[in-house]
Formats: sequence, C-alpha cells, structure tokens
Amino acid sequence: MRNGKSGILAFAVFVSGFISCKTGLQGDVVTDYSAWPAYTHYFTDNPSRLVFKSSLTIANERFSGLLVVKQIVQGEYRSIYTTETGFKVFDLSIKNDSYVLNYGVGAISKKMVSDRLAFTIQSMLLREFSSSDWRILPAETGFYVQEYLFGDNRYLIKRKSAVYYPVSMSLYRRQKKKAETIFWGTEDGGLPDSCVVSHTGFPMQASFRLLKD
Amino acid sequence: MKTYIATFLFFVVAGIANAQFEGMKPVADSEALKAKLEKSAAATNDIFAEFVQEKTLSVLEEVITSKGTFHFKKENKVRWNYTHPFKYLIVINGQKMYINDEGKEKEYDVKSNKMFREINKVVVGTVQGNLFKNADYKTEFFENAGFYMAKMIPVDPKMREFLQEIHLYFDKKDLTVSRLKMMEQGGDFTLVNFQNKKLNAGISDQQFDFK
Repeated sequence: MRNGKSGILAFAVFVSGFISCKTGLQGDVVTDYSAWPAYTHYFTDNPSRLVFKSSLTIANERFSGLLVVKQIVQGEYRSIYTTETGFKVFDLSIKNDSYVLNYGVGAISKKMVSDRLAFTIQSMLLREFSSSDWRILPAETGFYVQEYLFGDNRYLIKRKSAVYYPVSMSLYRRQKKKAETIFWGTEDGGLPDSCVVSHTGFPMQASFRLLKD
Repeated sequence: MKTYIATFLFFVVAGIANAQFEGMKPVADSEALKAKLEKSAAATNDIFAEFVQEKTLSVLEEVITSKGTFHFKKENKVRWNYTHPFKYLIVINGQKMYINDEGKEKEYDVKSNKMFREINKVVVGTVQGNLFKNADYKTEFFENAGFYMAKMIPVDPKMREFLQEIHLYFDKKDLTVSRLKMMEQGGDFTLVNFQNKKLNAGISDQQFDFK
C-alpha cells in the first residue's frame, strides 16, 4: 500500500465505495484490487517501436511531424519528434517520473516547455503505476475512475473496464487541473487510434495518431 | 542477443542500400562540373519524380520511411506531396508556401520563417542546380562511376546546429538530382531518393495552386 498508509487507504476505499452506493452513482465498488490487472498501454505487446503522426502547438509556434517512440527497457522510452521533411524537433528520454531532454529546437529547450512536453509524452504512453497505489472513485454510469496519488500530483484515469485502455487521464496539482489527455478509438477495447493532450494555463496542445505499418 | 542481431541487420541493410553511392573520389575539375550542371539545369523547365524518404534515427536504430510525389517548375514552383504513411502536402509558389496537413490548411510567407526559408532554398536550389552557388554553403564535389556528389556544409554555425551537411547526388546520365542526404548532429540523417523522373513533360501551373 501507498507509503504505509494502508489503514487510511482502506478507509478511503470503503468510504468511496459507500458514497458510490449511497449517491446512486454506478461506478462499481472494487474491493479486490488483484482482479484489476495493470491496464494495457501502447507497449503492452512490446512493439519494436511506434510511430505517431502529430501536431504540436506551443504558444504561437506550431510543429507537425512524426513522433517515434521506442521502449529502451520496461518503463523507459526514447521519443524523437521530426518534421515530415525530416528535421529533428526534440529528443526526449522518458521514464515514469523523470525525463532527460537530449535535444530541443528553439523554445523546447526551455525547462518550462520541456517539463510539459515530457508530461505530454508520459501521459500519452500512460505512466505505469504499481498495482497497489491506486483506488477507485465513484463515477458516472458505465465508467470507472482510478485515482493515483504521486507526490503533489493526483491523476484521475477514466476507464470503461478493468482491461480497456483509458478514455481519459487528468492531472491535478493542489486541487487545480493541470492537464488532460483524451484517448480516441478505444471503443472496441483496442489501443487508442489517437489522443489529444491539453494543458491548463499553459499554451500547449498536442495530438497524436498512431500510424500502422 | 536480439539487440546485436537487430543492430547488425540495420547496418547491413543500410550498407547494401548505400553501395551505389560509395567509392566517391574528389572531382578533378570542379569548375567544369559546375558549368555542366548549370547548363543542364538551364535546359530543365520542369521535373516530376516519385520519392522515397528515409529518416534514420541512429540512437533508436530505426529508419522511418515515407513516400510521395514531387513536382518542380521554373522559376520557383515546388509541389512536395507525401502520400504514405500520412498525407502532407507542401506547395511553394514564389515566396508563398502552402501546407495541407491531413486537411488542415495553412499559408506562410517563406521569408517569415527561417526553417521554411532553408527548406525552400535547399529544395528549389537543388532542382534548379544552383544551390552550390549559394554563399551560405561551402561546397566540394566528388564522383564515382554513376554519380556526382556535391557535399555542402553550411557556413553559419547556427545553421550547422540542425543541419551539418547536405549531400546532393546527380545522376551522370541526365545530371538531375537522384538523391538528397541531409545530415544532422548526432548521426541522424534524412535520405530522399528520387525515382521515375520525368523531365520537361509540361507540368501544368495548376499543380502549384493553393487548394
């Protein structure tokens, strides 16, 4: 359990389950976490690499091109963005909670931009939380919302089922929504065809569409 | 072990593809070659070609391939149309540039954007055969049995930060560009191979309309 706060978490789960039932919200009460496997994500089946057609807007600058992502070891990725004509825009090494900017053109080399860019890629790939550091919150009919707490960050991941790819992922920090990723094309339980990542209070938006060979 | 095999295959395949462009030696009379290339370019009013672009990301040991068609018409008209695995169209007509990115259209003034300015300069200068006359690049000429190669290094250090060298390969049969190689820092490079070229076939101006 998270940081040894198993008692508190168990209580919170109990309370949230209780609220869910009491308020009539249809989010199922999950008490057996082991029945919820780690969700599928783009690299679940270990593809050698993935290529996304993408557009990226940072303030007044607009980039478009290809994002190539390769898993170096489990949970560690290298992502390189090039324009369609081949010019490199950025090169990021990404882990769940950290990143290294290996190359960034123009404003991307600034930390405030690269921080958000790294989050964008992390949320698109979906961070891999351990199976014990989350809980289910009440949700609207037909959905589950998983909550993960990670330092100051609170992630809410909306899912249709235990195995489906999430529908969306939102990041909150100090009660404020910082970013949201919406995934498209998961209706049949497959991997998302595309996703859009929007940042609140910062002029960055990115979209990615998976290119199939 | 799998990684070693993949790395080995990556370099073998890359090596086979590059074989016809290897064995380059310095050209003895660069001025005579320049004159020959300029004369050929002067006689070329339009070019159509299919292209295959390969972006090599050395750190990932990956090659990303895209394909499309290319139209050029004098004086300054270019249509660069990516058709696979995505749709992306660039049209340059004089100092205006039009981009259609999977249905999202936008027009730019080439002068207003440094990257577009360089793309325009390289693309138009390449097909017009006068890029090597540009003072922004230091150029040396090489040749093998089938090709001439102009090796161009940007003079501006800032430019070299994202484009270290350009290699233009001219087919000795028709003196048109068959291959363009743009090399970046860190070993990444972009290869564009032009195939099934048609010269002076009478390309319509409508190909370069912004629509």
